[in-house]
Amino acid sequence: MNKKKASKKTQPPRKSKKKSSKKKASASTSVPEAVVEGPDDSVEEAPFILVVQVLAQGAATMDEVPIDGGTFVVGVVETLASIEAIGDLAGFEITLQYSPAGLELGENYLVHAQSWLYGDGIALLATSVTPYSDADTQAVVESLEEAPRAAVLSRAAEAELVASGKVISIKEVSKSENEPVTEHDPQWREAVVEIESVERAAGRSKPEQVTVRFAASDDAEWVDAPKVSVGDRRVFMLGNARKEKAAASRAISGASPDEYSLLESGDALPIEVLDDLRKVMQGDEQ
Amino acid sequence: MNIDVINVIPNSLSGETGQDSEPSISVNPENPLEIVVTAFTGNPTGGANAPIFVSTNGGASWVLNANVPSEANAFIGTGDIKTAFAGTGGRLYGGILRRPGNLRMNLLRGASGTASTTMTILEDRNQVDQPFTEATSVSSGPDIGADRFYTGLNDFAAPGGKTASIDICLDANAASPTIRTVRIESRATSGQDGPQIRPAVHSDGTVYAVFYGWRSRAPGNVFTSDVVVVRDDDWGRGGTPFTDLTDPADGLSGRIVTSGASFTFGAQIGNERVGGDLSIAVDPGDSSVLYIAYCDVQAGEYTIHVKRSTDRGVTWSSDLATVANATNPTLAINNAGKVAFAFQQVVGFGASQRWETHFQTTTNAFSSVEDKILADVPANTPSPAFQPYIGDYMHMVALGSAFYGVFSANNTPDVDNFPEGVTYQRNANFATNTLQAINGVTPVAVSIDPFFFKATEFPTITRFTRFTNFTRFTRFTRFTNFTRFTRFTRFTNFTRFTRFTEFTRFTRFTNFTRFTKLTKLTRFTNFTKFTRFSRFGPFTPPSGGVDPGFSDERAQGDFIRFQNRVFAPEELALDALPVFEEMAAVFASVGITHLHQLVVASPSVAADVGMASEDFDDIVAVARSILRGLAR
Repeated sequence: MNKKKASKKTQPPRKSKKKSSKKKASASTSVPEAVVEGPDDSVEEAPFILVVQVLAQGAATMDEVPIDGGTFVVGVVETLASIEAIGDLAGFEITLQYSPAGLELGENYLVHAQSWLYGDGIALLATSVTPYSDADTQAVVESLEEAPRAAVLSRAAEAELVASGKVISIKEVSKSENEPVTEHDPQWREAVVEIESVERAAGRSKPEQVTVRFAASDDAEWVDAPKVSVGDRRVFMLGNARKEKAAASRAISGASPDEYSLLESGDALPIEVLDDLRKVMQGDEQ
Repeated sequence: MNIDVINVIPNSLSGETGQDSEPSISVNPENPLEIVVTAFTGNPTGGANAPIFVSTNGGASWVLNANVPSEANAFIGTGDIKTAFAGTGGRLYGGILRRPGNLRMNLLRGASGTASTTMTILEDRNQVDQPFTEATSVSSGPDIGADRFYTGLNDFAAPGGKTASIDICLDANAASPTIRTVRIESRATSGQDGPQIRPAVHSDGTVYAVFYGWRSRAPGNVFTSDVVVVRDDDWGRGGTPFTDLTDPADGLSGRIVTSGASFTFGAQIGNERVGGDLSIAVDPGDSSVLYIAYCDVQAGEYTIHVKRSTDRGVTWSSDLATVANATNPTLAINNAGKVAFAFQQVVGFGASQRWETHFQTTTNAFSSVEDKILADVPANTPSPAFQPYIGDYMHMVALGSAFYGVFSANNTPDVDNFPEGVTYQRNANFATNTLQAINGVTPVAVSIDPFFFKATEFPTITRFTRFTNFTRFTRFTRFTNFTRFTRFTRFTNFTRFTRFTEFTRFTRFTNFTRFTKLTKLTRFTNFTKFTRFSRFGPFTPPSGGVDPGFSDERAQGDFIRFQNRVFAPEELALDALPVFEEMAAVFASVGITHLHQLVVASPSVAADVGMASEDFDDIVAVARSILRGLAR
């Protein structure tokens, strides 16, 4: 994600004359149904954070957008956060879907949004819309600056063990005769990791070695799962203090309670991040 | 047939470099302008939903819509995915392998392809592989209007290793649909069946499915299989679904079309893994007629076979077609009984190996075929990021007389790689064979993209259609790069101008005309009181500096439009092109004086000018190549 600090050079948007509360809209009132439907009922982080001016209601910049009263054409005054593939949207007209509607033409708003449609133009789904204010915008900028650090801390905080180590052996996990034959076979491997430093060991002794399961398969299902080779040195964030997450991981990998699994890209990081990680974790403790 | 090939990556994602493999396609039967393509494509924002590609204009342009439930920050949005539109109502059904998980299947329903709402989960269970969904709606009788879907799946929870299964839903548009899992394997297996279970549904209630019954397994994952076809004559709603077709040898349900089909599961050709391929198509005009394609190894080469039954699967032809070193067969039959067969074949050796994507049609059960190569691309670049490299399947459907399909291939912008022509939405420079980022400048690495194709029997508007002052445009009129506007062309409220539209002094703007920042205004542009000016421009990134070369002089005269360029007639005169200098007089004798006329000349012209048809074909190919080059 491309986070861009608010530029002082940008012409300040006009202040909203709207008399509604300047508080950020709560998730329950501002998130369209579209966003909260489905199994993941938590509101994900908004990859787009924009200051926009409302140009038209009941209109769209793309033919593919089904238009209703909550469909707006907005001009992007400033991009606070965007994705790498899109970049800075300032100066562009885009489509914004905001189901509660209620936006006023010509007014400026601070918008948190998720992606919806990418075509010749883009259409976004607003998850939060508040009348523009300098204070709110500055708060967003500050939180964005803090975000990378927060993400590392979040993963480290829920890990049972944060440690650096070297992979000293790998063996294939034997299969039972009844194991399905499928192109999605994870091809589980067990890697023995010699621990070099323990950065955090929540609720357990500092081990000298740990065994981690990883999927050696090159199948699409396992493309996100970290893979290691003998001799690799990595920073490992292993296990999960949340029992249900730990159980879910074990259910997928078949790991025993004293083994860990590498399922997500954040579970095994390049050794080069170790120094930065220490600084971040120390800063957090202080 | 007239064929259009279109890269579906949208312009706004010009920087995309994912391995968008294993594509499938679904066309809304009620509105063929609405098409959905799926592939192993990640959500650009890393959001919790996986995306699908959607077109609402018959495939001319595409958008990426993230509405499939998945996992946040996944490199690819979802595992196996295959969607299908209902027959009516525009609802979209699908089956996916859900992430995170290990063989976790979700069956889904969405209001439409472009709906912003996350698709509703109708079924969520584990130990399932390769869900493959087909859908329809009942068009008569007491259940009229009911959506029905059939998802072929390899269900490892099935008892006795008889894993080939179909999930049937007869009331899919109900608030709480009922889904019933039916086991379609009736014989002993080697422990399980193959992962490919492909259903085909006919509007009269006949439902077929084809699967590999794995009968034995040798070391090295070598499987020997029966290719089995099952049938149900009443939508699969009886007490013992899919038992209406039995094999005369053993009396068990499921006709064994071929025994002893053998292959190594996980072998590779051209960087793509293989391990069985199946396709099935039923004639929409006669449910007794069906074709299947399957793969096995013959003389050491992975080979596609095509067979036909004309008696509801009771008896089968010998091989009507075989293709060696090929995979991803897909079959479809149109409303005239024409059969289309598409596949991907590896040709050449070593570093020069290439993937050819073929599209063949036949009206006489493969006694003769029309064979078109849609793509001919390197097989070794880019390097695989994962498997499948181009897909465990590609896919094609028929609707009316048209065929709609999708394949994945190396996306190098090179006209020589796409013999039937190609259109890119993403920024690409065909002169330098480079992809460009959203800024139209920064080079982008070659990757695997999905390519939509559409083959039409009688296109209502071809690239060479000439509009007169009597032509009436509607909101559905689709202008192509070749549309030729005259002083008599009348634009309506619905006319949509693109950045390539050329305006003349005769262009009439209405209060609905929308100008973009790329619109080239002339002294003839007529602004009205409704013209809306804004400091914001639409999000239409530059494409790399294509200059249509507009001039007032040209606006006053006749012109020829090809792709993104407008030519003065003299620019395309054959006698002005050195390569045709000597032949110009010959072609002029039959009324062909310009390049654009030559590229669409009838094959009969060869005889008219006393030329061998092969030579004439070569000349037309050269003309086509030159015209494309000039257009760039």
